[in-house]
Order: sequence, then structure tokens, then C-alpha cells
Amino acid sequence: MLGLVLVYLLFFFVLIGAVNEESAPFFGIVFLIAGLLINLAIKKEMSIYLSQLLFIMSIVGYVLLGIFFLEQQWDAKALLMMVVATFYLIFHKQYIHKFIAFYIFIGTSIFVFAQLGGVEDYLMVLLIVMSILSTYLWLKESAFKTKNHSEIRSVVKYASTTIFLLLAIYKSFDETMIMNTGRLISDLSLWLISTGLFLIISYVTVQIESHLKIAWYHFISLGLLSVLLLVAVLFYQTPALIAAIIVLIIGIERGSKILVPLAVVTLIFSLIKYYYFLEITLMQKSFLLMASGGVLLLASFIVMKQGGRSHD
Amino acid sequence: MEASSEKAFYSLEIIPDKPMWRQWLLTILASMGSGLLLVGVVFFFAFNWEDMHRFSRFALLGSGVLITTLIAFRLGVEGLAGQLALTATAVFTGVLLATFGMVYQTGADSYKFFASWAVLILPWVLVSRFQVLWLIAAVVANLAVITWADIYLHVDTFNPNIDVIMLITINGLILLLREMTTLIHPNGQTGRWFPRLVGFALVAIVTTAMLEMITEHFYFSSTLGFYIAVLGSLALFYYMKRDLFIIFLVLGSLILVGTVKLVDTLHLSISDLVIFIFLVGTFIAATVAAAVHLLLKLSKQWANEEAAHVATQQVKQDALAESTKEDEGLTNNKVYRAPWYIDGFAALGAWISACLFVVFFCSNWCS
Repeated sequence: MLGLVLVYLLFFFVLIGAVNEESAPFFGIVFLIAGLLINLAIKKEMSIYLSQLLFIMSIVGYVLLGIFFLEQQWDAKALLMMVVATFYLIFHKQYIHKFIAFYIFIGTSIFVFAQLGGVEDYLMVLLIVMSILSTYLWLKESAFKTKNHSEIRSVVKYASTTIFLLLAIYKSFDETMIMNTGRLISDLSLWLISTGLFLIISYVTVQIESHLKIAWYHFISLGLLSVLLLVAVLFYQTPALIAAIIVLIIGIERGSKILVPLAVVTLIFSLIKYYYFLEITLMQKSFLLMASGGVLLLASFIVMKQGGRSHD
Repeated sequence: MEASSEKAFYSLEIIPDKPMWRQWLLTILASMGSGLLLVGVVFFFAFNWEDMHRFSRFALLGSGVLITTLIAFRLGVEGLAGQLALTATAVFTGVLLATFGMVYQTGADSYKFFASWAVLILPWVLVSRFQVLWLIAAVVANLAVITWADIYLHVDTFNPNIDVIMLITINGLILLLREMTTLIHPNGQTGRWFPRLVGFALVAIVTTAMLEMITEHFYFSSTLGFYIAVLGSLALFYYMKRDLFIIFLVLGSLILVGTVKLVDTLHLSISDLVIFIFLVGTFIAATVAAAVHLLLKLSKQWANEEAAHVATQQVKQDALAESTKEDEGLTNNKVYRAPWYIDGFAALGAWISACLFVVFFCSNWCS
């Protein structure tokens, strides 16, 4: 405990030494490189807190460099940030910093596209890429290898899944944008996203069915795919709903206590968004909600009966 | 070889098999179906359809209450179907009360509506063992207190007066009831998110009251007394119950209140920005480090003790590890991983300290 406070104090006084106009860029480079190198050298058993401080040391180094060295060169700053983030993603020992690094990397790339123009198209591509990446990483990691997985793989699969869901939620509000601006291009992008997500959910479903020894042409499989197609078409303006279903299925398959709640929250949110933005009266909404609820309850009743019959 | 490993994992329920998938599907369809149906019913009565006679509305809702209650007790409250039916009963009760108020324009205050609703559904909540129904009841009870305070106190909700005391009492009572039902039916309760949510609410209420007292520079011994009493009780109870998350909340609150008090005191007495930031940064770093140290120690200690208690399951898993080790390269060495909130807490503390450095640095540079 005393050691940690001493390290903290030492760091503080070193920083004070750096505070003058002439030496700031120099200390910036020194902090950045020292932080990166020390992080390479530290062992897993090392104190969490010291590791945090080293991470921050590099970030402070980056800030110093950004402010005093690169000035208005935003593209160079973004590039440097992406390099630092990549380094931390690969080499840092703590997964929480790997997360931060992954988010910094993605955030910086969005910033770059915002500077160049065409950020909306980039977000659409990013959504599809993240959905494919997270699905691949989750499904290709068989359960009996979980103890052996690498940290980076684990971080990327969680981070890409959350970014995938966040982008899907963001894109779900494009419909309002279309209504306000009359832009047809966004409608097209929503159809493209919906098609992409339907292909992914179909792949996930078929993969799981193959684990359960159900052929893709079996009537259960075809029926399930038809329902998913119907959902993809009906809710094409709310990609968050399809994204939530994908993550929910993967979460159940992998037995993840993080993915399932995350997917359920997104699912509820996307349903609220869908019904809230429907341009019908409250009365019609109530009938639609009751009808949807009735259909789902009927489906659950059928599933229950099927289960009872198979047990018999 | 791989097939045998996969079979073993199916038997341990790590990979869901067909019955498990069916159970999941059933849970999702039934929960979503009930949820949508209930929201539809609420919307229908909120629309206040003129063409429908008031007696028809009461009859519909009354039948709803009766039928769902009968279904719940027919199916039993241990299963999801019964629990969902009982939740529907609770929602129908609220809609019935609201419709009554709408039809007869009773002029009753909104707190009476929420209070009546909470009292009427309490017996079902107690027998339900269903966290969602507990949440509905807790929200309704809190709304009753907030709307009552809004009408009669004419002050901010978090004024350290009677409203805070009432919010603490009502949430404390809910938490106590919930934990008591857990003791009565230890096997019927799954998940800890509801007690943790109420614990968070309690800590948030007393912390907000304390922060307001510090920043507004007034002193209420009752606020301080309640702060110590609530945090002390929560820490003691959940130390015995071994819920690290609530202890983490208590420590977080203490650090937050301590930091704000320090900032407030230093702001008045110290004019030098360097020393000010130095002291605040050091305080945050030291307290967060101490809290993380304590939480990690408790976490490891409890994890070890729990592992010893579930010896039979451990034996089963060890047998599996032995069978798969050769195929998959697994080792018996388990790597301890701290809960996510401890890692996050440490990171947050370090980030705040670092932000203080950057602010200090920038302000010094500009000057």
C-alpha cells in the first residue's frame, strides 16, 4: 500500500519536472516510449495500480506530444493514437486497458473518416465488419478451449460485440433522419445492413443446428430461418433488434453471463424504439402490441407442448 | 477424442443441448409475449376509449386480475409461467386502479394511486420469488414516496429531510423483505441483480444527500447519522452474506464523499493550485488503492472458501479436466480473475488522478 502511494508520488514529481515550455515535447517522447517499454517488461503478477500508472504515463506522453509537437496535424495525431492503441491492445497485461485501447482505435478511425467525409458509409461498413468479427470469434472458439484463450482474442470479441450493438442502435435512428431529411440513401443503407445481419443470423443458426445434429433442410430449421427473414424484413429500420437476437443466440450458445443481459437490454430498447416511432394511433399500437404478445405466447405454448411430447 | 470432450461439456451444461435450447426459447417467447401483451393492455386503457362502457372496462380488468391469479396458482409460482401470470395480475391491478380514477374522476392524489397499488400487490410479490415483479413493486413504492414529497414538501426530492428518510426506509424495507424471502426459500431465488439494484439505490440516496450537505454548507446530524447507519448496515450485512458488489458500492460512496469534502475544505483554505491538486490526487490514489486492495483480498478469500464448499462439483470438473487435458492442452491451474467492477474501479481512480495531472499541467502551462 505504502509502495503504491510512493510510486504515485514519484510519478507526480517527475511530471512536475516536465512542466516547462522547452522540455515538454522531450518529456512527451520519453514518457510515451518509457511507458510502452515498461509495459512490455512488466509481469502479470505486478500490481494492478502500477500498471494503471504506466498506462496513464503513455497517454500523458501522447497528450504532451499531441499538444506541443503535432499542433494542428490531426491526421498525424490520429495515426499516432492508433499506433499507441494497437500497441496496448497487443502488449498490455490488463484486459481493461486492452478494451480502452480497442475503443480508442475504433473511435480514432471514425474520427479520421469524419475528417475525410463519408462517415455514415464507414459506420455501415464498420457495423457489418464488427458483426462478422464478433460472430466469428465467438463461434470459432469452442467451449472446451475457453481456458486456453488468449487475452487479446477475448478482449476483441467482447469489444467488437459491444461496438456492433452500439452501431446497430445508432443506425436504428436513421429512420427518423430519413423522415426529417427525405434521404433515400439511408433507407438503402438500412436494407443493406438488414440483409447483412440476416445472412449472419442465418449462419449462426445453421452452425448451432449442426451442433445439435439438425440438418439445415429440416422443417424446424427452415421454419426458423423463415421467421428470422420475416423479422429482418419487418424490422429493417431497427437493425438493433436483429443485432440483439444475434448476440442473444451467441450468448446462450456460449453460456455468457455478459452477452445475454446485454442482448436483452438492447432487445427491449429496440422494441421500445420500434413501437414508439410507429406512426399510428395509441389504440392501434395497443392492438398491435397485444397481437404481437399473443403470437409470441402462442409460439411459447407450442414449444412447451413440443417439449412435453418429445419427453413422452 | 474431441467428441468425448464435447459430450462431457454437454453433460456439464456448458454447451446447451436441445432441451436447454427449448427452455431458453420458451423463456424468451413467454417473457416477451407477456411483456408485449401487458404493455398493449396498458396502452389500450390509457387510450380511454369512449365507446367502451365503464362497466365493461372494469369487468375486463377484474376478469384479468382473477384469471391471471388463478393461472398463477394453478401453475405454481416456482415456474416462469406462474411468475409471469402473477406479474400480469400486478399490472392489471394498477391499470384497474388507474381506470377507476379516470372513470370517476376521483381527484385523488397520484401518490394514493401508487401507494394503493404497492400495498395491493405486496402479497403476490412476497410469494412470487420473481425479481421482475419485485422491481415493479419497488418502482411503484418509490413513485408513491416521490409523488407524495412532490405534493406536500414542495422542495427538492433529495433535501435531507423527511423525503430522504422515507426513501431510505421504503428501499431498506424492500431490501429486507427480499433478503428474508431468500432465507425462507433459498432454492427458489435465482440471480442477485434485484438486491444489488436496491442496494445501489440506497447508497445513491444517502450519498446524494451527503454531497448536497457538503456542497451547500449546511449541517444535519440526521443526514450524517443516516449515511453512517445505512452504509454501516449494508457493509455489515453484505459482508456476512458475502456480496462483494455492495461492499464495493459502500467503499465507492465513502471515497466520493471524502473527496468532495476534501475538495470543499481545500478550496476554502488553500489558494495554491499545485498543492490543491497534489493533495486531492494523492487522496484519490491512496483511497482507491486501499479499497481495491481490500476488495481483492475479500474476493480471493471468499472464492477460495467457496471452492472448498463446492467440493463435489469441483471433483466433477477435475475429472472432466483430466479427460480433456490431453486433447485440448488444458491445465488444472486456475487463474484468479478479479470481478469486473474492481478492475473498473482501479482504472477509474487512476484515470481521475491522471486527469487531475493533465488539468494541473495545462493550467500551469497556460499561466
